[in-house]
Order: sequence, then C-alpha cells, then structure tokens
Amino acid sequence: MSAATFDWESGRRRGMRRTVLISAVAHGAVVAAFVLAPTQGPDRISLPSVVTVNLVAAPPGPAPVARPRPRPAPPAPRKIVLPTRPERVVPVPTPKAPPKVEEDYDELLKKLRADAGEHRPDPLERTPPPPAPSYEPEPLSTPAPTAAANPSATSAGGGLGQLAPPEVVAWVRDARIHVRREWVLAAGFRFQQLETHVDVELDTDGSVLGEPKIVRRSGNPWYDESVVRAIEKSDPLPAPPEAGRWPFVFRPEDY
Amino acid sequence: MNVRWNFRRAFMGAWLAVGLTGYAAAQGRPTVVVTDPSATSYRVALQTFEDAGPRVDAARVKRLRDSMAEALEFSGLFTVIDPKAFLGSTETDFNARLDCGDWSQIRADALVQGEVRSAGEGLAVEYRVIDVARACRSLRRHRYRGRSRDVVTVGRRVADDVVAAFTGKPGVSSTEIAFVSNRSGKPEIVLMDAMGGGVRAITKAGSINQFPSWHPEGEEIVYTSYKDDGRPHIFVLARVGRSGRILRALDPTQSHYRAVFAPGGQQLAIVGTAGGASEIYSAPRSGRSPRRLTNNRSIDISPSWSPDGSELAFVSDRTGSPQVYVMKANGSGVRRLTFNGGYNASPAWSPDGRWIVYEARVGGQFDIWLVDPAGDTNLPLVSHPRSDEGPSWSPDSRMVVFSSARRGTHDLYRVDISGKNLRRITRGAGDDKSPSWGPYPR
Repeated sequence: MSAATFDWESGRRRGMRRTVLISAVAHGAVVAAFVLAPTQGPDRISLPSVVTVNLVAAPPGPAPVARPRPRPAPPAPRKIVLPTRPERVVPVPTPKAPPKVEEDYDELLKKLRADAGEHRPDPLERTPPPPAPSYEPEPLSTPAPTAAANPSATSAGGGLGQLAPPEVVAWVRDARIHVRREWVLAAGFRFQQLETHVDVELDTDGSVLGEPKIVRRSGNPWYDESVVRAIEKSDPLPAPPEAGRWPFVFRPEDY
Repeated sequence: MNVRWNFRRAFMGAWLAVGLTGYAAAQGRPTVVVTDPSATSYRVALQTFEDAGPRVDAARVKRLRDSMAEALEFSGLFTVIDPKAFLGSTETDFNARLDCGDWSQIRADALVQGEVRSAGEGLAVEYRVIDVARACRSLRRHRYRGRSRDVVTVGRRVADDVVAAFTGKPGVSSTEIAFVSNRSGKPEIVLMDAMGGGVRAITKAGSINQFPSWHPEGEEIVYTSYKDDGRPHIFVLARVGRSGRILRALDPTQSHYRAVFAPGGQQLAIVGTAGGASEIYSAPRSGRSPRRLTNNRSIDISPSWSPDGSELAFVSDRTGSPQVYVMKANGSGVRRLTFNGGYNASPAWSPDGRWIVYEARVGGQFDIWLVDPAGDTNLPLVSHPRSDEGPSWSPDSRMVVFSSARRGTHDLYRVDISGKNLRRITRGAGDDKSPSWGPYPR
C-alpha cells in the first residue's frame, strides 16, 4: 500500500513537475517572443520602401497636375536685421553707408515679389551693385551741375540716389550699356573734356519719341551730333521703368 | 512665425513706400551717364557713282569708288559695307526716292551717293552724304572737279570730305608723308601718299640726308644733308621738281643738325653748334641772323613748335639725361615736361595743340607716349619690344606716324591717338625712319 501510496505520491509529483516544466517553457516562449519581437521590426518597416520603389518604376501616367509649392520659409534668421536698417537709410547718408543695405533690400524685395506672385528675376542678381552709389537723386531740371559736382557717383551708378528703386538702377545700367554700343566717336575726341546733356523722351517699350533734346552742348557740334546719332541708333532702348523724359550725359572718358 | 513674417512684410512695405515716395518727390530721374563708347566705326554704304554723261570709262568709275572705299577705311572711322548686302540699289540714282529703311535695315550709318561725268580734260563729281542714323538727313552735298588722270585723288578728296561731314575735320587720305629711307642705298628723303602708295625719292644726293620737315603750306620741305662737305647743313627744296638748296645765310663753317618751320612758315627753329654744344636758334625763313634760344653746356636738340608759334618743345640733357622741355619762342620760361624714364626724345606738338607725342625709353626699348603741354597727363600710345621711334602728327591730330622695326627692317606705322587702328604703311623696302606728316593739300 505504502508502495502504492508512494507511487501515487511520486506520480503526482512527476505530474506537477511536468506541469511546472510546461508552464515554464510556455512562459519562456512568451518572454522570448517579447524579447525577440523588436529585432524583427525592420523587416516589416521596410515594406513601405519597397512599395515606393515600385511606384517610381511604374510607367508614367498622365502629366502631373502642378501643385502649388509650399510657401517659402520665412527668411533665415541672419537676414532678420530689419530693426537696425531704417536707422541706416537716412535721407543723406554718409558715403560710408555699407552697400549691405541694398543687398538685403534686394533680397527682401525679391521675397516680397515672390509672395505677390511675381517671378521676374531681379536683374540685380546678375551683377553686384554699383560700387559707389550716389545718394543724391539728380533733379531733372538741373542735370548739369549735379553731374559735374559728383562725377564719381554718376559714373559709377548713373547718378542714382540710394532710394531709387532697383528696377530703375537696373534700367540705367542696361540703357548705358545699350547706348554705349551704338556710340561712335572719332579718335580726336577721345581725350577731350567734352560733355553733352540730352533729354530723351521714351515710350513704355523703350522707343525714342521725337528727337533727343540737347539741354547742354559740349561746345563741339560734331561731338554733339555723335551723341544724338548714338541715341537714335539705340532706338529702341531697353524698356524704362516708366515712360517719359530721361536725362543722359555723354562723356568720352570716365573722368 | 507668421506673425513675425507679416510684421516684416508690413515693415518692408512701409519702408519701400517711404523710399519710393522720396524718390518720386525728387521730381527727377537718375541720369544715364554714357562714357567710353565701344562702337569702333560708322558703317557706310557707298553707292557706285552714276555716270551722268558725257560718258566716263566704267573702269574709272569703279576705280573712283574703290579709292573712296580705301580712303574711308584708312580713316579708321568708317567700315564700308559690302554692296552685296544692299537692299537698295548699288548705283546712285538722284532721281529715285530715297527709301531710308533700305539702309537702316542693313545698319548703315551713312550713305554716299554721287554722279560722275567727263568735263573737258577733267572729271567732275557731285556727291552727297546721307546720315542714315538720323532719319536720312543730308549732311552735305558738294561738287568737285579734278584732272581726269587723278581719279584716285578725286576719290580720296570725296572720302576726306565724308570724314569731315561726321567729325568736322577732313580725313587725311589726300595728304603725304616725307621720311628718310635707304631703299636706294643711301639715306634719302622720300615722299609717299599717306595711305602708303606713290613712293618717290625727292633727293638723290648719294649722301646722308635726315630730318625732313614740312612747310605749313606744304610747298617746301626743309631737311639736313651731309652732301656738301661731309658736315650737316640745312637744305630747303620745293616739294615737286626741284633739287634742294642750302640755306647759305647760315654760317657755313658751323654744323647745323636740324631745322623745322614755324607754324606761319616765316621762321625756322634750327639746331646748331656753339662752343661744342648743340643749341637751338630761331631764324627767319632765309636763315639770316639766327637768334640763340638756349645757352648752356648741355645738348639741346629736336625743336617742335606749338601750333600758335608761341612755344617750343625740345630735348635737353641739362639734368643729366635726355628729357623733353618746353620754352617760350624767345627762349625764356624753360620748364621740364617729362619725368618718366631716363631717356625721352623726339617731341612733336600736335596741330591742335592738345598733345606732345614723344619717344620714351622704357626698359630696353623705345615706346611712343603722349603728354599734354602742361605735363599733367602722360599716356603710353604704342609699345613694342622692337622699339617705336620718331613720331609725327597727322594734320587732323587724330593719328601719329612713327618708325618701328617690328618686322625686322624699320617700317612706318600709323596709329590713332586712342592707340587703336595700328597699320603698317611701308613694307620692308629698306629702313624707313624719321617720318614727317605733311599738311592738307591746297
């Protein structure tokens, strides 16, 4: 009996050990599943990339509809220097005013244009700004004294005031290059201190309206003739920012 | 972010508005300053002159046009358009309506039209110059009559007049250049058309001849020759047909190295010797009673008159090296003009008085430089390792002729005052030196 009891007891103990063992294995499997699950994740996550590759390789479908590009991000923090700039833009700044003002101004103006839907490239992007801008707009009624009083400024930037809009600056430069190409000057005039001031009436498309008007003669009629001839050969000029009378000064050398 | 961006836009808008308002408030526009013209020449359309009868040989009509074209190109101011490019007629018809568009479309700046007819033994031309760029207005209309054998001369005269229509000064294709050449063995005085043709020796001394210089009227040339006694003396010869005669009024026991006519033609500046040094004198055209202008132990040579005759540029080594000086016509007020380099020589005062051209030794070579009479501006004109020497002005003050050994032997070259349009005029027929550009023909 005792052996039978012993047997029963031993059998129950064996059963319990088996149960405990099974339970332990099952728990271990669950724990192992949790522990190993993160290492299998990347395989699953890589699926979307496969899908993406297939989409790119697919034959082209209908032309994609242009979607509005997201608005440009606000200017980089380095350009946020606006609070300091109005202090620099004074009506009569000192000659030491850094050209950085105009550069930033151009950048900001470009962004404003982009926001307004204008995508016209700013001509100022192609070349650096004039090295020595003048800060006094020249009155049309008295062009000669102004140009004579500040020759370096006028020769560098066409007599532009600091506050002249960049499209005006660009047009002055383009007009200067355009007319210069058409101006023939006899060798004898080359080193003479001649200066002819001409007002040119321009249409919106740059066409020269009427005959250029000489407002100040050089003293040499053939030189003056060469100037008028140059303007008439230049017709049409680049389209000006606005139609009307534009003052020109012609000098043989950049003195 | 949006708030800050909107604030910026508002701020920049206000800033722009203020700027534009200020710009507009100036009630003026910026001046377009045009300098340094880059176009090099006017494009000229040259119609063949119409044979208006009595009939002129077609070959001569063609030669007339060709000579005009060459002379216009020689000016450096015009480029002649190939007639194949014409939209209008290649021949003149004064009776036909002028369609300006035909010429402006081929970018012609000028149109030259003309008629030619025989006139007795001679040739008569009538021509007009049209300024195409200025709505085809007529710049000038002129008649010219020449000897029939001078068809080339007529063509050059017309071309020079076309240049005058555009610049106020005639071209110089009709002028001549005198120079020294050893092409016949000895250095002789030689004449040549300014364009390079018609070379003929005007001395046959078989001796050394130097420094030709024109009378302002162009009828005489004064020069230096060693032909008499082996020493240098001053001779004068008529431009055409005569042999040179010595200025006997000058002391024959003294050497005289060079003479130049004063602008009026009634005086000479003469380089002679005194006490072993060369000095500059002024004398009447006859050479009688010369007046000494310089007086020192150094060498004073190469006089050149200012166009008004009030001053003389010359070379002196009084400071140790040859330099260009200027003095008054009476020898007072001497001032040094050149300071660059250790050797500056051969000054020539431009006919318009604006410049003195001279040769300057730079390194081991001579270059041609310009200096204004006040000495404020000093500019190089041409430069070459083989040296450029002996400059002389064209009568319109637009060109300089000089001698250079760029191609081996010394040849004559001409260049614009701007340093452009350098052209070789003579071509290796010997050493050609010491050019003197003559005045406009009478």
